[in-house]
Amino acid sequence: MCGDKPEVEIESLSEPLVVVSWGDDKPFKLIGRGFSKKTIDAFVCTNKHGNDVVPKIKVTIDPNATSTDGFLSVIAHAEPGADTEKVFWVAVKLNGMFQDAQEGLKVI
Amino acid sequence: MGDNETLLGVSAVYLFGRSLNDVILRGSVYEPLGIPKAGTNNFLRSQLAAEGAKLARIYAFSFEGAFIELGRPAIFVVHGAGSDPDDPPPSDLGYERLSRSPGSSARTGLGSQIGALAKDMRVWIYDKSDLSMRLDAETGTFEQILLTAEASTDLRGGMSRSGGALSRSGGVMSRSGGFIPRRSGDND
Repeated sequence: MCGDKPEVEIESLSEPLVVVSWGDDKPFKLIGRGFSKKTIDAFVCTNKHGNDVVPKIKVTIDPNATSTDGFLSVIAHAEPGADTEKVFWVAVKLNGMFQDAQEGLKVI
Repeated sequence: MGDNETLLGVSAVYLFGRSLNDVILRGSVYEPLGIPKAGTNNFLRSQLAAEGAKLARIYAFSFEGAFIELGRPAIFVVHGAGSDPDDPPPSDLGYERLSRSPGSSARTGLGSQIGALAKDMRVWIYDKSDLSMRLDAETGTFEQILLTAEASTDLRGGMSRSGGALSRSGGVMSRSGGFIPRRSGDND
């Protein structure tokens, strides 16, 4: 980001710790600003810089739930075998560029 | 998402519940493990093997505008994460739990709603003709859930079997109240 303020910012998650079971879907919300942009992607990674994407946990934008500029409704899905020890970061990209990340997703 | 009213709503069934976190359906095993079946429609197999198939504990359903709570929650096959019946939330999410006004009837199948659904409740919408699976789970000692239900001591001191397969032919309608022992009077 080179010090620029990101266009999309995650201030918090809708739950203090989002817990996802193997094979299950967990709906939750990203709270912040800039979520009304159309080309946002959400993903899970192991650090605040958006590196080291975790392929066994997918976060998709919930097409059946309302999202606004201030929050984004998403669904996390953890495949069996996903790491159950770490607490992961939920991150967003805008047009493929990393914007922000927030810690607080755990797999059980 | 459009909340339009359509003709399909006439036969829609809205299941309200929560997915089970401790059970995973593995539809991929049906093909290699099963003996080939003569039937070709595979409706149930398709439902169980579909992407996102899972089991959910269903507390209530709505149909033709009526909200009906199950006498005892039952487990049904559902697909995907379901939808939030209370969507949309207030713009300030801090008030989400306080804003329990009725959601869109496209999400509840109801014209009005008294009371609020629990916070984590999701809704899955099906057609009443869709094939599914219902599991009425029962817990207890083996004596309660196996011996009393299936066998009883006859007058000669031995165990006699219950009616067996024929006594099970009643189907779902006769079991809607939940678990019923097959020999009345044995469940003390």
